[in-house]
Amino acid sequence: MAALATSIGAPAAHAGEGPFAFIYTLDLQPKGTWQFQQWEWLQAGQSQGDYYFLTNKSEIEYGFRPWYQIGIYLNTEYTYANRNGVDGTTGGPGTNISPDSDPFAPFSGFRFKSVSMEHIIRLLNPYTDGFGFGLYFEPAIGPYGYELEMKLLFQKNLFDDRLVLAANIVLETEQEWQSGSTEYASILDLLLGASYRFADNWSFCVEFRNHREFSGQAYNTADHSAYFLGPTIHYANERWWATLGWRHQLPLVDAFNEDQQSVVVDGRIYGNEHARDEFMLRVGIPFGGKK
Amino acid sequence: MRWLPLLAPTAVIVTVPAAATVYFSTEQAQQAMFPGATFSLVPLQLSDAQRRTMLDRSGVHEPFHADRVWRVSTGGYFVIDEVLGKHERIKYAVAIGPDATVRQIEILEYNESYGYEVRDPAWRQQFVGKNASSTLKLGSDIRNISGATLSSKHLTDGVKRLLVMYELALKGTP
Repeated sequence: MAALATSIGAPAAHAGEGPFAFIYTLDLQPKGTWQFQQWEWLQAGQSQGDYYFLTNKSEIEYGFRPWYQIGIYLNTEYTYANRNGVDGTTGGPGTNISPDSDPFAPFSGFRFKSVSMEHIIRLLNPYTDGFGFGLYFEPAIGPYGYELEMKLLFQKNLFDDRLVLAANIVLETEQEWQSGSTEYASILDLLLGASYRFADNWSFCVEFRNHREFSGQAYNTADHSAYFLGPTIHYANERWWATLGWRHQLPLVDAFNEDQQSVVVDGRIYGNEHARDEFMLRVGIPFGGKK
Repeated sequence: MRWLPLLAPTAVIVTVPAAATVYFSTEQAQQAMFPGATFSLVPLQLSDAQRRTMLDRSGVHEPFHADRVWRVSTGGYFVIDEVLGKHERIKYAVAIGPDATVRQIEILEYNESYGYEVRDPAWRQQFVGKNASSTLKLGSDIRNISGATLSSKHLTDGVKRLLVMYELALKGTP
């Protein structure tokens, strides 16, 4: 069951031009403006061998109201894996290897994953209300499954908005169709981040993630709890912006059953769940500003 | 070779940052706001206590540069200040009349993706007549500009800080 996780799940998209790589803020597109955004999310390294899993997301987002933004995504994936499993076999998120193939052969594949549409509603504006709060909703569907992601977004700005504290609570349920079966999982993530604008155009951030995964679509049985931490650098000017982030899996995993424990090495969980490191590159080009 | 497919969907964007947009030089702003006047730089020195009061009453943490205050030959003061925009600083000027109220504000430099509406005369006109006793809160005294909230807020707080500075250090001086 847990094999489903991160193959279609995991943190998906973000909105507007926030300083973080993985965490949403309430910086929405102004009404009537739009932005193109490209995401490259690389998960790299498992317990041994070679493992790279790249998720590509091309997005158009639009400010529908001052407090409401929509986004449409086209999502694809590329995977390369070779003897990366704890037992020396080839596997991991995104591999989807047939049980009939050689388990020790390298695997590489590129596939269309899904299309998704996000909705973000800002209920409290961190710039004018003293504290930011918003709701996020994103359904996604593709040939291999569907997922439904909901987030609670929190934001507090300090020191002329130089310092941004943000938190996301992520609820996600997903179903994947592969190998002739249907699998279900649900996810509860807590994301925390702090960003400081240390110079004009530049911000430095620290981002933390606690990822909790469950079997079943209704948080039926706890599978594991994993922790990630890493830095992010953000650059922006009036014409474009880019964000580069790195999250490292901390050796603190809690695995709640034998199946999960079997893919834990040195306190980190791998298997079909996670990699050792995650890198995110986002590039955005805003349009529609009136000079 | 195995990395080749990674490159295909990756948008690599290399753009040279645009040159800063300057709407007014210092001299142009001075003549636009006080036509025909002459200007003398004020050797202003603010104490720590005065700076603390400016911070407390305006909420602006950005350092204030006291070397950009001019006395105007026809009465009043011309002050240049900067506040944070979304990516860069917003440079603006405030004309304070002999009656200690705002006579005019002008945006000198603005280099952001959005929020250029802060240059609209109707929005800037809201500051005219305000003084250090005015509350100057965005959303009540000054209209918020949707899509330019950060710029609106920082400019509003910045003008408040300059009026407090005027009251503390310039008011009543010859």
